[in-house]
Amino acid sequence: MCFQFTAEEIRQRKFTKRGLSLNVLLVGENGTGKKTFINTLSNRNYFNTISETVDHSGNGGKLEISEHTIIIDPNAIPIKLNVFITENFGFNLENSSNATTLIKYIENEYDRILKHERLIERTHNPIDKRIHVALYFIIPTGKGLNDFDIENMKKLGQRVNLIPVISKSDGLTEEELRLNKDLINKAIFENNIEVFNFTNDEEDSFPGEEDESEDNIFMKTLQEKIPFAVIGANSVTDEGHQVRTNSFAVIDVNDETNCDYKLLRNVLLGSHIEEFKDTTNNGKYEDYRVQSLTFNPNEINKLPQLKIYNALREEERRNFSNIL
Amino acid sequence: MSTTVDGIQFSQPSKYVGFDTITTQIENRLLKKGFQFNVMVVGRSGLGKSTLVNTLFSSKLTESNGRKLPTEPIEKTTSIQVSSHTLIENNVRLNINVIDTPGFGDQINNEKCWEPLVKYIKEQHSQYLRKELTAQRERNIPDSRVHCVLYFIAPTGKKLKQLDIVALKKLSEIANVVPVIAKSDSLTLEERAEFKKVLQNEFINYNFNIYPYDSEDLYDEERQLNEDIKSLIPFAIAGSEQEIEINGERVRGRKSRWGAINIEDVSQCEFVFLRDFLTRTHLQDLIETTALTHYETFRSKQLIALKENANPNRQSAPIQTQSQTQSQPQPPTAQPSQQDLKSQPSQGVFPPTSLL
Repeated sequence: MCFQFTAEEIRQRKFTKRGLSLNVLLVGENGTGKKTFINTLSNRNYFNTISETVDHSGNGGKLEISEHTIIIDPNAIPIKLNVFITENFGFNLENSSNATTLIKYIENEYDRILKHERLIERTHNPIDKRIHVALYFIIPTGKGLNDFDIENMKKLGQRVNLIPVISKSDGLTEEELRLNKDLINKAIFENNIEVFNFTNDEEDSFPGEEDESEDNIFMKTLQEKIPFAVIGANSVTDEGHQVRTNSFAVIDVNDETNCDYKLLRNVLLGSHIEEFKDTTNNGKYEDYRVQSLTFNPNEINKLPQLKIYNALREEERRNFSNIL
Repeated sequence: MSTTVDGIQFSQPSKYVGFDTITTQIENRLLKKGFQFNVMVVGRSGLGKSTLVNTLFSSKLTESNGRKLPTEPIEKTTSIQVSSHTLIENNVRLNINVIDTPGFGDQINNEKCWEPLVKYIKEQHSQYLRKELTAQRERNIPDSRVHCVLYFIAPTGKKLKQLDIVALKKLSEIANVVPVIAKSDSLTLEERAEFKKVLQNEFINYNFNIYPYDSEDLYDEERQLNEDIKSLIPFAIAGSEQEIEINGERVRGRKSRWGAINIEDVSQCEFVFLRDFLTRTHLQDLIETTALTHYETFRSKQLIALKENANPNRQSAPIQTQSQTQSQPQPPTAQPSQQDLKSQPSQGVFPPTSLL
C-alpha cells in the first residue's frame, strides 16, 4: 500500500477496480427490442439482432432464459451487468405456464441463496444471481394490457422489482403514446400489480411533512413516467449520438423529448443500482424467505415438482406437433 | 376470313353484327345487381385491422378504437362481428361485409381460437350450398362466403408465433389468405426486408397455400403480375384514417414527433400495393376463386359424404353443426339418388362436423 495517496484516492481506486454489478431480467415476447435495448445500454453491438431471426436454439419454441454478462463502463467505473433475457416468451398457443416458469427461475435463485445462508460453514460468498430488477416489455396496442401481461406482471411484481416498459415506442404518435400509458397504468391499478415505487425514499421525512427537495420532486415525475417508453438505437451518428434511423426520421434515443430511454438508463446504471439490490435483499427476497421458511422449515425438495413440470411441457409440445 | 387458334376455327362475319355489345349488356346487368365482397380481418388486438379496412375503402366501415378510450375490455373469447356496408363509385355498387374477429390471439391460452373463424367460413359455404340445392331457389343467392382473409402479422421481425402458424395453415386451406405485416412503419426498410424474407421462408416451410394461386387459364401477363405480387407478399402496411400535411399537401398519414409518413407513398409503405391488389386487379379473382375453388372443394366433399350416407351400408348418424338446428338429424333412409334430395327444399342434411 502506497501511503503517498490520500485515503480518499485509495478508496476511489479500489472502488473503481471492484466496480459495480447489477442483475437485470428482461421479459417480453420475441421481437420487442430487449436485446437492442442492451446493445443501446452498452453502446456496442453485443447482440446481432437483425439476422437473429432463425430459431437457433432448435427447441421448438420453449420458453428459456438466456444469461449474458456485459461490462458497461460509463465514466470509467465499470458495471458488470448480468442480463437475463427471455426467449420465446408468449410464443406458444398455450402460455399459461410462462408465468410459473419465470417465477420458478427467480425463486430457484432465492432458494440457492437461502440454502447458502443456512449453512453452518459458509466459507465463500455465493455468486449472487438474484434478479435485482425486471423490465417488462409491453407491446403497445392501444387497448391496454391483455390477460397474459396482467397475469405475468402480477406474479413478477410480487417477487422482483418490476418496471414496465413500452417497447418500440417510435411507432407511436404522441397521442397514441399518452393513450397507451394511461391504459397500461389503469390496468396496473385495477389489477393491483406491484410496480417499483421510486417515491419510496421517505425514510427521513416525518408523516405530514412535505419534503419538497429536488430529489423527491424528481422521483415523483419519474414515477409518473411509468411505463417508460423505450426506443432502441440501431446506429451511431458521426457526433457519437445513438440514434434509430428509419425511412423518414433519425431519432436520438437519448433525447428525453423523444422517449424515456435516458431516464431509464440513469435509473438502472446510476441512481438506483444499489437501491434495486437493497430492495431485493430487504424486500422481495425477505418476503420470499419468510414465506418459504414458514411453510416448509425443512429444505424444499424441488425435484418431484420439476419432473411433473417437464412432463407437462413434453405433452404440450407433442400436442402442438399433432395439430400440424 | 377464318383463323385457327388452339385448334378452334374462328371466322369473322363479313358485315358487322354487333354481338360484341354483349359485354356492355352484361355490365349493365351487373351494375344493376351490384357486387358482393366479403373480407375477414384476423389478428390480435391493436394491430390496426379496423383502421386498415377503413383506409382501404376510404370509408368508415368499422369502429377503430385505436385512438379513443375503449369502453369494453378485451374480449375473453374469439367472436365474429359482421358489419355490412354499401359503397358506390361511378355507378358501381359494392356491398361489403367486413368480418371482424375480436378476441383472436388475445388470451393466455389461445388453443383453438381459430375455430370460430373456420366455423364461420364453412358455415357460409354450407348456407350457400343449401340454398343452391333447394328446388325453389332464389334468383340471386346472397353470397356471404368469405372472399378474402386479411391476416395481420405483428411487426416483431422474428419468426412466426405458434398461433400464426396454425391459424395460417387452417385458414389458407379453406379461403384466400392474404397475409400483411401490420404497423410496418415501426420497422426500418432493412428490418422490413429481412422480416419479409423470414416470413416468406416460413410460408414455404409450412406449406401455406397463400393467395394468389397458380392456374392454367391465366394469361402470361396475369401470371407475371401474380409472380410480382408473390414476391411482395406479405405486404408491409400502415393505415391511417387521418389526414396530415406533408410539404403543403394533405395526405393520409401518420405524424409523430420526429417525422411523418405518407401511407400512399410506396417508398414508405406498401399500402397502395395492397389496395390495388385487392380492389383494382384481383377483386374479381378473389370472388371467383372463392366460388370456383374453395366452395367447390367444400361442395364436392359434402355431396360425396351425402351420397355415402344415403348408402344402405352407411355408418352412424352424422352430427349437426349449430347452424342447422331446424334440419333433421338424420337423412331419411333409402335415398338412392340426389334428385330425391332436391325434393326436400328446407331440410339441409349435411354431415359437416366430420369434415370440419
